[in-house]
Amino acid sequence: MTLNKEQLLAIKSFIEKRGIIYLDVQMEILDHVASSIEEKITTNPSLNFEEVLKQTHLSFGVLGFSVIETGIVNALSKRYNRFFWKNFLSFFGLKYIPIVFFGIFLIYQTQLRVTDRLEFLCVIIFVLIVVAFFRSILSIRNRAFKKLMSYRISSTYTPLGGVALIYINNYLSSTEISSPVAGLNLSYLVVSLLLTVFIIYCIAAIKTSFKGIKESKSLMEKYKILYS
Amino acid sequence: MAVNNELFKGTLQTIILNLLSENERMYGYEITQKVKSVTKGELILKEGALYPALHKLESEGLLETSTEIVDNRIRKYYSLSKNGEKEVVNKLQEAKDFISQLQLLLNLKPIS
Repeated sequence: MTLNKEQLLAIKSFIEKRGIIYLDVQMEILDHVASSIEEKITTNPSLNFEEVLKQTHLSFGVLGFSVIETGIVNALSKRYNRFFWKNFLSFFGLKYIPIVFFGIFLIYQTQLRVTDRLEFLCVIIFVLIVVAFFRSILSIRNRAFKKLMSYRISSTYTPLGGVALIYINNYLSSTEISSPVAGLNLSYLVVSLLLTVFIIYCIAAIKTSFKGIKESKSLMEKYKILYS
Repeated sequence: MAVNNELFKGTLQTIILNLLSENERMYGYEITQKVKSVTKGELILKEGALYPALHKLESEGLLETSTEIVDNRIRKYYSLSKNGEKEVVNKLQEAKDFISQLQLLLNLKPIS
Protein backbone atom coordinates (compact mmCIF):
# COMPACT_ATOMS: atom_id res chain seq x y z
CA MET A 1 0.00 0.00 0.00
CA THR A 2 1.31 3.43 -0.97
CA LEU A 3 -0.08 6.67 0.46
CA ASN A 4 -1.65 9.12 -1.99
CA LYS A 5 -0.72 12.80 -2.37
CA GLU A 6 -3.60 14.01 -0.15
CA GLN A 7 -2.51 11.70 2.67
CA LEU A 8 1.10 12.85 2.33
CA LEU A 9 -0.07 16.47 2.49
CA ALA A 10 -2.09 15.62 5.61
CA ILE A 11 1.10 14.23 7.23
CA LYS A 12 3.04 17.34 6.18
CA SER A 13 0.40 19.57 7.75
CA PHE A 14 0.41 17.40 10.93
CA ILE A 15 4.21 17.84 11.20
CA GLU A 16 3.98 21.62 10.60
CA LYS A 17 1.36 21.98 13.33
CA ARG A 18 3.87 20.46 15.75
CA GLY A 19 6.29 23.33 15.15
CA ILE A 20 8.59 21.76 12.55
CA ILE A 21 8.91 24.56 9.99
CA TYR A 22 12.10 23.76 8.05
CA LEU A 23 11.46 21.77 4.87
CA ASP A 24 14.54 19.52 5.10
CA VAL A 25 13.55 18.52 8.66
CA GLN A 26 9.93 17.97 7.62
CA MET A 27 11.10 15.83 4.71
CA GLU A 28 12.94 13.31 6.87
CA ILE A 29 10.08 13.05 9.38
CA LEU A 30 7.48 12.79 6.62
CA ASP A 31 9.21 9.85 4.93
CA HIS A 32 9.57 7.98 8.23
CA VAL A 33 5.95 8.57 9.27
CA ALA A 34 4.62 7.71 5.79
CA SER A 35 6.69 4.49 5.61
CA SER A 36 5.44 3.46 9.05
CA ILE A 37 1.77 4.15 8.18
CA GLU A 38 2.08 2.27 4.87
CA GLU A 39 3.50 -0.78 6.62
CA LYS A 40 0.83 -0.78 9.33
CA ILE A 41 -2.07 -0.38 6.89
CA THR A 42 -0.61 -3.05 4.58
CA THR A 43 -0.53 -5.47 7.54
CA ASN A 44 -4.00 -4.47 8.72
CA PRO A 45 -6.08 -2.76 5.95
CA SER A 46 -8.96 -2.03 8.34
CA LEU A 47 -6.83 0.55 10.23
CA ASN A 48 -7.79 4.21 10.01
CA PHE A 49 -5.20 6.59 8.48
CA GLU A 50 -5.64 9.36 11.11
CA GLU A 51 -5.42 6.88 13.98
CA VAL A 52 -2.23 5.31 12.65
CA LEU A 53 -0.75 8.80 12.11
CA LYS A 54 -1.31 9.63 15.80
CA GLN A 55 0.13 6.25 16.89
CA THR A 56 3.26 6.83 14.78
CA HIS A 57 3.70 10.29 16.30
CA LEU A 58 3.53 8.76 19.78
CA SER A 59 6.29 6.28 18.86
CA PHE A 60 8.71 9.24 18.64
CA GLY A 61 8.53 9.51 22.43
CA VAL A 62 7.78 12.40 24.77
CA LEU A 63 9.90 14.89 22.83
CA GLY A 64 8.05 14.09 19.61
CA PHE A 65 9.50 15.24 16.29
CA SER A 66 11.84 17.73 17.96
CA VAL A 67 14.30 14.83 18.52
CA ILE A 68 14.87 14.73 14.76
CA GLU A 69 15.07 18.52 14.46
CA THR A 70 17.70 18.79 17.21
CA GLY A 71 19.72 15.97 15.65
CA ILE A 72 19.64 17.58 12.20
CA VAL A 73 20.66 21.00 13.58
CA ASN A 74 23.63 19.45 15.44
CA ALA A 75 24.72 17.35 12.46
CA LEU A 76 24.51 20.26 10.00
CA SER A 77 26.27 22.67 12.39
CA LYS A 78 29.16 20.29 12.90
CA ARG A 79 29.39 19.40 9.19
CA TYR A 80 29.51 23.03 7.99
CA ASN A 81 31.79 23.97 10.87
CA ARG A 82 34.26 21.28 9.79
CA PHE A 83 34.05 22.47 6.17
CA PHE A 84 34.57 26.11 7.22
CA TRP A 85 37.67 25.45 9.36
CA LYS A 86 39.15 23.07 6.78
CA ASN A 87 38.92 25.88 4.21
CA PHE A 88 40.18 28.54 6.63
CA LEU A 89 43.21 26.51 7.72
CA SER A 90 44.02 25.43 4.15
CA PHE A 91 45.33 28.99 3.52
CA PHE A 92 48.09 28.38 6.03
CA GLY A 93 49.31 25.26 4.23
CA LEU A 94 52.16 25.10 1.70
CA LYS A 95 49.84 25.63 -1.28
CA TYR A 96 48.45 29.05 -0.33
CA ILE A 97 50.98 30.49 2.12
CA PRO A 98 52.89 32.43 -0.62
CA ILE A 99 49.56 34.11 -1.59
CA VAL A 100 48.88 34.93 2.07
CA PHE A 101 52.30 36.59 2.42
CA PHE A 102 51.74 38.45 -0.83
CA GLY A 103 48.38 39.68 0.57
CA ILE A 104 50.08 40.95 3.75
CA PHE A 105 52.75 42.66 1.62
CA LEU A 106 50.12 44.28 -0.61
CA ILE A 107 48.10 45.69 2.32
CA TYR A 108 51.30 46.91 3.97
CA GLN A 109 52.36 48.68 0.78
CA THR A 110 48.90 50.26 0.43
CA GLN A 111 49.22 51.68 3.95
CA LEU A 112 52.62 53.14 3.11
CA ARG A 113 51.10 54.95 0.15
CA VAL A 114 47.84 55.95 1.85
CA THR A 115 49.37 57.46 4.99
CA ASP A 116 46.18 59.18 6.19
CA ARG A 117 44.60 56.62 8.58
CA LEU A 118 41.11 57.93 7.96
CA GLU A 119 41.61 57.64 4.22
CA PHE A 120 42.77 54.03 4.66
CA LEU A 121 39.74 53.26 6.83
CA CYS A 122 37.52 54.72 4.09
CA VAL A 123 39.10 52.30 1.57
CA ILE A 124 38.29 49.34 3.88
CA ILE A 125 34.72 50.57 4.47
CA PHE A 126 34.21 50.99 0.71
CA VAL A 127 35.38 47.39 0.07
CA LEU A 128 33.06 46.14 2.82
CA ILE A 129 30.09 48.04 1.42
CA VAL A 130 30.73 46.38 -1.97
CA VAL A 131 30.94 42.95 -0.27
CA ALA A 132 27.75 43.66 1.74
CA PHE A 133 25.97 44.75 -1.44
CA PHE A 134 26.79 41.48 -3.25
CA ARG A 135 25.88 39.52 -0.13
CA SER A 136 22.45 41.20 -0.06
CA ILE A 137 21.89 40.37 -3.74
CA LEU A 138 22.83 36.76 -3.04
CA SER A 139 20.49 36.68 -0.04
CA ILE A 140 17.56 38.05 -2.09
CA ARG A 141 18.25 35.59 -4.92
CA ASN A 142 18.28 32.66 -2.49
CA ARG A 143 15.42 33.79 -0.26
CA ALA A 144 13.44 30.63 -1.10
CA PHE A 145 16.17 28.56 0.58
CA LYS A 146 15.51 30.28 3.93
CA LYS A 147 12.93 27.56 4.54
CA LEU A 148 15.81 25.05 4.65
CA MET A 149 17.82 24.43 7.79
CA SER A 150 20.93 23.58 5.71
CA TYR A 151 20.89 27.06 4.08
CA ARG A 152 20.37 28.91 7.35
CA ILE A 153 23.21 27.11 9.13
CA SER A 154 25.69 27.34 6.23
CA SER A 155 25.15 31.11 5.91
CA THR A 156 25.70 31.91 9.59
CA TYR A 157 29.45 32.41 9.18
CA THR A 158 29.35 35.52 6.97
CA PRO A 159 27.85 38.06 9.45
CA LEU A 160 30.45 37.05 12.05
CA GLY A 161 33.06 38.65 9.79
CA GLY A 162 31.86 42.03 11.02
CA VAL A 163 33.32 41.25 14.46
CA ALA A 164 36.81 41.18 12.96
CA LEU A 165 36.16 44.54 11.32
CA ILE A 166 35.29 46.12 14.68
CA TYR A 167 38.67 45.00 16.06
CA ILE A 168 40.54 46.34 13.04
CA ASN A 169 38.66 49.62 13.28
CA ASN A 170 39.49 49.91 16.99
CA TYR A 171 43.13 49.18 16.29
CA LEU A 172 43.33 51.74 13.49
CA SER A 173 41.77 54.49 15.55
CA SER A 174 43.64 53.82 18.79
CA THR A 175 47.18 53.02 17.61
CA GLU A 176 49.82 55.65 17.22
CA ILE A 177 52.34 55.14 14.44
CA SER A 178 55.17 53.43 16.25
CA SER A 179 58.87 53.55 15.58
CA PRO A 180 60.13 51.05 12.96
CA VAL A 181 61.05 47.50 14.03
CA ALA A 182 63.57 45.85 11.67
CA GLY A 183 62.73 48.59 9.19
CA LEU A 184 59.00 47.85 9.36
CA ASN A 185 56.19 49.96 10.77
CA LEU A 186 54.71 47.74 13.48
CA SER A 187 51.18 49.13 13.45
CA TYR A 188 51.00 48.84 9.62
CA LEU A 189 52.19 45.25 9.91
CA VAL A 190 49.59 44.33 12.55
CA VAL A 191 46.79 45.87 10.48
CA SER A 192 48.06 44.00 7.38
CA LEU A 193 48.02 40.71 9.29
CA LEU A 194 44.56 41.32 10.76
CA LEU A 195 43.09 42.32 7.42
CA THR A 196 44.60 39.29 5.67
CA VAL A 197 43.15 36.93 8.31
CA PHE A 198 39.84 38.75 7.98
CA ILE A 199 39.86 38.28 4.18
CA ILE A 200 40.70 34.56 4.60
CA TYR A 201 37.82 34.28 7.09
CA CYS A 202 35.46 35.88 4.54
CA ILE A 203 36.61 33.54 1.75
CA ALA A 204 36.05 30.46 3.97
CA ALA A 205 32.64 31.82 5.03
CA ILE A 206 31.60 32.47 1.41
CA LYS A 207 32.75 28.98 0.35
CA THR A 208 30.72 27.45 3.21
CA SER A 209 27.72 29.53 2.22
CA PHE A 210 28.04 28.41 -1.43
CA LYS A 211 28.20 24.77 -0.34
CA GLY A 212 24.96 25.32 1.61
CA ILE A 213 23.35 27.02 -1.41
CA LYS A 214 24.38 24.15 -3.70
CA GLU A 215 22.92 21.53 -1.36
CA SER A 216 19.77 23.58 -0.74
CA LYS A 217 19.26 24.08 -4.48
CA SER A 218 19.41 20.34 -5.14
CA LEU A 219 16.87 19.67 -2.37
CA MET A 220 14.59 22.52 -3.43
CA GLU A 221 14.45 21.23 -7.01
CA LYS A 222 13.13 17.89 -5.74
CA TYR A 223 10.73 19.67 -3.41
CA LYS A 224 9.33 21.77 -6.27
CA ILE A 225 8.74 18.66 -8.40
CA LEU A 226 6.53 17.30 -5.61
CA TYR A 227 4.75 20.40 -4.37
CA SER A 228 4.47 22.86 -7.29
CA MET B 1 11.78 -13.24 25.79
CA ALA B 2 12.22 -9.61 24.76
CA VAL B 3 15.64 -8.05 25.25
CA ASN B 4 15.90 -4.97 27.48
CA ASN B 5 16.44 -2.09 25.06
CA GLU B 6 18.62 -0.26 27.61
CA LEU B 7 21.24 -2.96 27.09
CA PHE B 8 21.79 -2.23 23.43
CA LYS B 9 21.85 1.57 23.59
CA GLY B 10 25.62 1.57 24.05
CA THR B 11 26.13 -0.44 20.89
CA LEU B 12 23.57 1.40 18.76
CA GLN B 13 26.16 3.22 16.68
CA THR B 14 27.99 -0.05 16.02
CA ILE B 15 24.71 -1.68 14.94
CA ILE B 16 23.94 1.19 12.52
CA LEU B 17 27.46 1.22 11.06
CA ASN B 18 27.40 -2.55 10.62
CA LEU B 19 23.98 -2.51 8.92
CA LEU B 20 25.19 0.17 6.52
CA SER B 21 28.37 -1.76 5.74
CA GLU B 22 26.18 -4.73 4.76
CA ASN B 23 23.50 -2.76 2.88
CA GLU B 24 25.41 0.08 1.19
CA ARG B 25 22.66 2.66 1.84
CA MET B 26 19.51 2.70 3.98
CA TYR B 27 16.84 5.17 5.09
CA GLY B 28 15.72 5.72 8.69
CA TYR B 29 12.57 3.61 8.73
CA GLU B 30 14.34 0.80 6.87
CA ILE B 31 16.94 0.60 9.65
CA THR B 32 14.27 0.21 12.35
CA GLN B 33 12.60 -2.56 10.33
CA LYS B 34 15.90 -4.32 9.65
CA VAL B 35 16.74 -4.43 13.37
CA LYS B 36 13.24 -5.77 14.07
CA SER B 37 13.44 -8.50 11.40
CA VAL B 38 17.02 -9.64 12.18
CA THR B 39 16.20 -9.98 15.89
CA LYS B 40 12.76 -11.47 15.11
CA GLY B 41 11.05 -8.64 16.99
CA GLU B 42 13.17 -9.04 20.15
CA LEU B 43 14.78 -5.63 19.71
CA ILE B 44 12.71 -2.58 18.84
CA LEU B 45 14.71 0.42 17.69
CA LYS B 46 12.68 3.50 18.60
CA GLU B 47 12.77 6.69 16.51
CA GLY B 48 13.83 8.65 19.58
CA ALA B 49 17.02 6.56 19.78
CA LEU B 50 17.69 5.97 16.07
CA TYR B 51 17.73 9.55 14.75
CA PRO B 52 19.99 11.10 17.40
CA ALA B 53 22.45 8.23 16.76
CA LEU B 54 22.23 8.64 12.97
CA HIS B 55 22.73 12.41 13.16
CA LYS B 56 25.60 12.03 15.61
CA LEU B 57 27.37 9.64 13.22
CA GLU B 58 26.69 12.08 10.37
CA SER B 59 28.10 15.01 12.36
CA GLU B 60 31.23 12.98 13.13
CA GLY B 61 31.72 12.48 9.39
CA LEU B 62 31.17 8.72 9.55
CA LEU B 63 27.99 8.83 7.44
CA GLU B 64 27.09 10.55 4.19
CA THR B 65 23.58 11.37 3.01
CA SER B 66 21.79 11.64 -0.31
CA THR B 67 18.17 12.35 -1.22
CA GLU B 68 15.85 10.83 -3.80
CA ILE B 69 12.19 11.11 -4.74
CA VAL B 70 10.43 7.85 -3.83
CA ASP B 71 6.62 7.31 -3.74
CA ASN B 72 5.82 11.04 -4.02
CA ARG B 73 8.09 12.08 -1.18
CA ILE B 74 11.75 12.90 -0.60
CA ARG B 75 13.74 10.10 1.00
CA LYS B 76 17.04 10.64 2.78
CA TYR B 77 19.50 7.76 2.46
CA TYR B 78 22.43 7.18 4.79
CA SER B 79 25.63 5.47 3.70
CA LEU B 80 29.12 4.99 5.13
CA SER B 81 31.72 7.64 4.38
CA LYS B 82 35.35 6.62 3.85
CA ASN B 83 36.02 7.31 7.53
CA GLY B 84 32.90 5.33 8.43
CA GLU B 85 34.18 2.31 6.48
CA LYS B 86 37.36 2.36 8.56
CA GLU B 87 35.52 3.00 11.82
CA VAL B 88 33.10 0.08 11.42
CA VAL B 89 36.01 -2.38 11.72
CA ASN B 90 37.19 -0.75 14.98
CA LYS B 91 33.68 -0.54 16.42
CA LEU B 92 32.99 -4.23 15.65
CA GLN B 93 36.24 -5.27 17.30
CA GLU B 94 35.40 -3.14 20.36
CA ALA B 95 31.96 -4.78 20.58
CA LYS B 96 33.46 -8.30 20.28
CA ASP B 97 36.01 -7.55 23.02
CA PHE B 98 33.27 -6.13 25.24
CA ILE B 99 31.06 -9.20 24.77
CA SER B 100 34.01 -11.51 25.64
CA GLN B 101 34.60 -9.53 28.85
CA LEU B 102 30.90 -9.69 29.73
CA GLN B 103 30.90 -13.46 29.25
CA LEU B 104 33.80 -13.70 31.70
CA LEU B 105 32.27 -11.30 34.22
CA LEU B 106 28.80 -12.83 34.19
CA ASN B 107 29.99 -16.45 33.93
CA LEU B 108 28.13 -16.90 30.65
CA LYS B 109 28.96 -19.66 28.20
CA PRO B 110 29.79 -18.39 24.70
CA ILE B 111 26.97 -19.02 22.21
CA SER B 112 28.18 -21.71 19.82
